[in-house]
Amino acid sequence: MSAPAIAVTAPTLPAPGRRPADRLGWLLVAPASIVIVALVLYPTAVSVFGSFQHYSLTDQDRSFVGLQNYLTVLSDSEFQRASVTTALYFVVISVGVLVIGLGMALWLQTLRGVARGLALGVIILPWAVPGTVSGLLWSFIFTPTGAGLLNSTLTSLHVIESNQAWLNMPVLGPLLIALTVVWGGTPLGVVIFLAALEGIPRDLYAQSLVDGASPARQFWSISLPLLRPAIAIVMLNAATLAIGLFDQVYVLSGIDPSKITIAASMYLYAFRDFNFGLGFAAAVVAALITTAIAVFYLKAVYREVEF
Amino acid sequence: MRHHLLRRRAIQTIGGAFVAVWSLLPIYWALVVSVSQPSDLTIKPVSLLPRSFSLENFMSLIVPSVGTAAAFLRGFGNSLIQATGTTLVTLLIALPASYAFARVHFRGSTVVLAVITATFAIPVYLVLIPLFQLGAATGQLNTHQFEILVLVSAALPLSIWILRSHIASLPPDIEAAAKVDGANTFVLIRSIIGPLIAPGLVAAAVVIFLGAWGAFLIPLVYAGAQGAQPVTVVIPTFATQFSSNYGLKAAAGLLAMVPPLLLVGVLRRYLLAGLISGAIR
Repeated sequence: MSAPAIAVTAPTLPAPGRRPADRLGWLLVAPASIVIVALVLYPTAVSVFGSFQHYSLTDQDRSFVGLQNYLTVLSDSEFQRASVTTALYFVVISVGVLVIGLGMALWLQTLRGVARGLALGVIILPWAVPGTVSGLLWSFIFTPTGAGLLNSTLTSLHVIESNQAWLNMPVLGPLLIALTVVWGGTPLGVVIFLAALEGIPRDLYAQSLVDGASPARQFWSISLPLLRPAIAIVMLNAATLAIGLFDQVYVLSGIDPSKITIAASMYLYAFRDFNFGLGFAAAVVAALITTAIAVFYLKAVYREVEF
Repeated sequence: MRHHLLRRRAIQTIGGAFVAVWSLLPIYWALVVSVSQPSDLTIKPVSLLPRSFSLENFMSLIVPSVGTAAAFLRGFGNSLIQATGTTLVTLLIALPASYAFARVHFRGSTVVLAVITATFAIPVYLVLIPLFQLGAATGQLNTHQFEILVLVSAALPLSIWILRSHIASLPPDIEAAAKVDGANTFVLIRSIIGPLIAPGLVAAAVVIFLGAWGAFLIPLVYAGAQGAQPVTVVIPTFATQFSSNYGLKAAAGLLAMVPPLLLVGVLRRYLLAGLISGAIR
């Protein structure tokens, strides 16, 4: 890592009426601020503004249409279907990451030394796998022909008689896609839960043991309440994974309308239908839902804990 | 007590089996598929071990004379350029800013930090179309630099958050000594702060690299043309193009996860320590 070519001497004596710290501070944060304003804040404003505009690449009309794009999007059956699917993803991914992530973190706590390091190394592997690749890996398990691991295992065990197209099944299909997202999202959950669990003072458990508390009782009365901030962050991450889900759906179903999320339907409005106005509106709706969930989690679940 | 130990041992074993199957099975099965003959996969009863072994699928992706290899290797190279570029540029921008937020008490620092951190919550799909328009208007679509710039903007908030908390936890007298020696701020950041927060820098670098390497929606829209396509965009095209050539697809997927897996494997200790002492506290 090298320093920028320009070297600026920090003033040592404060000049009257001007604080040198201000100049230095702004100079140091300027590149980051410029990138954030130009590539995040300004585009966000453009999206919000554009959602009130007629904006289709097929015509020149750019008139202001008020809430028309929102009404069109919300009454579009494809978008409604995507909303229901997103809700399903949201529930499965939240529960999956929470239960498996917390379960694995608690399990890791029973291990010590080398075993623990090795186990943690195995657990975080899926973290390194890109979403499209994880979709691809799981596709070899769900393949609709006899070459798929699930089909060949279940037919070998005579659980099923003929090969099934698992991903095309009405509820099971999205459920299995959600499973692949849980697979990739769990490692971060484990790391967050493990850090939080390690932060709980040991003597709290020792004390309760003296009082005769069982391990289950300790979990419900000590660990769980003190894990609230970690749970909030993990749930929030799961929510953004679910609402923004795109990669795995793209690979496993080729953006099948019965499996897309509202964020993916935004992509379709913009880059299949070339209707940027509807795309803006769908994106704003998805972002508003995410924000509402975030605020709820941070208010209702996240609570600073005192030890 | 004996009963208690037995139960603990049982939990450890059952948990271990679940962890191994859950984390490794999809990767392991792709390995089996990649070295097997396609006809092996449909033989009953199912075998979890490969019935045959051939590296042909891997060869047809990395030996440049083979047609499929050209597209794959180009994607792989583009991913390397874009992920490495994103990591370096993000750190270069984030480190001075993080130092300022942690140590320089300038007017407006709280507000700017709050705004930058809050943009972490702005989902990529909200800025997707405007940035596409920007890229199209400036003729920058399908270039590495535009792709990198967008990925940098996405990586900055978390990176600044991680680095800032690492710098804030350093004892303040370290810089006081450097200042007495007459070192200017950039020298101070590069030669004193940087090395001292090395675990945080490594953790941030790994997180940025993983994010950039795994990015899909951003390059699908901004780098969809062959020239700048990263491997994450090549993979789905392979998946449709060679729909029933499972072995080739599996080999491509496995090769595409080698750089991030290596990074996480080699730097695991830094990654976890850096994240736990930095972001999650």
